[in-house]
Amino acid sequence: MSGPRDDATPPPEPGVAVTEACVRREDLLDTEYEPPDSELEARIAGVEAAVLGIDRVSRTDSFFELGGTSLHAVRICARIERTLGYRALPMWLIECDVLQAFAARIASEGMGVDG
Amino acid sequence: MTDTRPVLLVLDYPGRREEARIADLRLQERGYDVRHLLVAPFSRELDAPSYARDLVRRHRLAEASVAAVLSYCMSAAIAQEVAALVNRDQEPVRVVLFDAEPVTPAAVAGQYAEALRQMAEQLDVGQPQPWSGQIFDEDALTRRPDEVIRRMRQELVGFATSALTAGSYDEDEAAGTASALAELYLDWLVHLVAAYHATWPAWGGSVVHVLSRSPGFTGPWPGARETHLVRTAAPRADLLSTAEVAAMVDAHLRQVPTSVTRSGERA
Repeated sequence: MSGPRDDATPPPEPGVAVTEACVRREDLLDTEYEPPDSELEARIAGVEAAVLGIDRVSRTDSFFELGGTSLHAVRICARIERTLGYRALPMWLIECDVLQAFAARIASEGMGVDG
Repeated sequence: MTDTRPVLLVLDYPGRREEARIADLRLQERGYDVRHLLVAPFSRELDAPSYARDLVRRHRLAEASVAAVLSYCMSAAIAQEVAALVNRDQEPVRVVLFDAEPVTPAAVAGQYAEALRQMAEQLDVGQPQPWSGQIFDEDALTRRPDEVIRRMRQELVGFATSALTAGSYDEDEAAGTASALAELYLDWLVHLVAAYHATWPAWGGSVVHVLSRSPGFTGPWPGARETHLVRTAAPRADLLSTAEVAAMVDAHLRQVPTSVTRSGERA
């Protein structure tokens, strides 16, 4: 199967480029990159970057401004659940489109899927 | 220490849109305790009173002292039901609506068609034929809202599953992704169907209806003691990012409604 599997690529470690990325963040946005503030933010940023096909996501970036759609939200949340073990509702990403807010929402409400 | 800030309940459905949001009024910076009620996971109740009761329960508002309920667009009917539920003080809860309108069958059909259009665009496939038009007639929506939602879900999931399978997802992945995608749109469609099934309770209070310059509903709000229309020059997209609107709402909520009535008109 060569389709866009949500769990095909493990989440990158902080600071590690996403291999499947094809677009540089700075080609999309003029704002300055701010690195993740926690390991969870870093791992969620990695998932967002991988699904959106960009090299990195700043903690201040809006999912929508990076081209995110409802389908992307579904895929991002599915991958977060599979690889990070957190519950994540796609609507949380739509409500909290900035990475740091989305990560905070997951930290507060996305209890571990595996318990 | 007891929080004495006036509590404002906000019903403004989340999601990306061109129009500014009630949150853009930044009323918390004017001393209010602003609580946004429409957050995931959403209610799946199909009538406005039940949907409103669900919101009151989830947000533990049974004992809250609420100063006002604010609502945007087609969420207004549910906001009114919320106001009736939290209306316990001597002074009726204030209701402030922005470009509000009652939900119609045509509006539900239109939003369903928009959901299909957006899904087709995201899935990179052609838009399906509007095979569901017949399920949105007033009789079906009124008598069998559960059936209307069931058919919408069936068609949205089927459409997305076909597109994803054709795009090389395997069947399990396609089914899971299609279902999750459809549920995102169904959250909104259920909200509209519930708002359509409103009872327009007379809670004893009045409505301030703030309007952009775009054409919209300007009638007396059903169930309100009286309706104060406040026309603004703001384009629809900018209504809620206009400083004058924030100041006017603040003045109204602080029981200095003269600026409202002076600039508005009584319906």
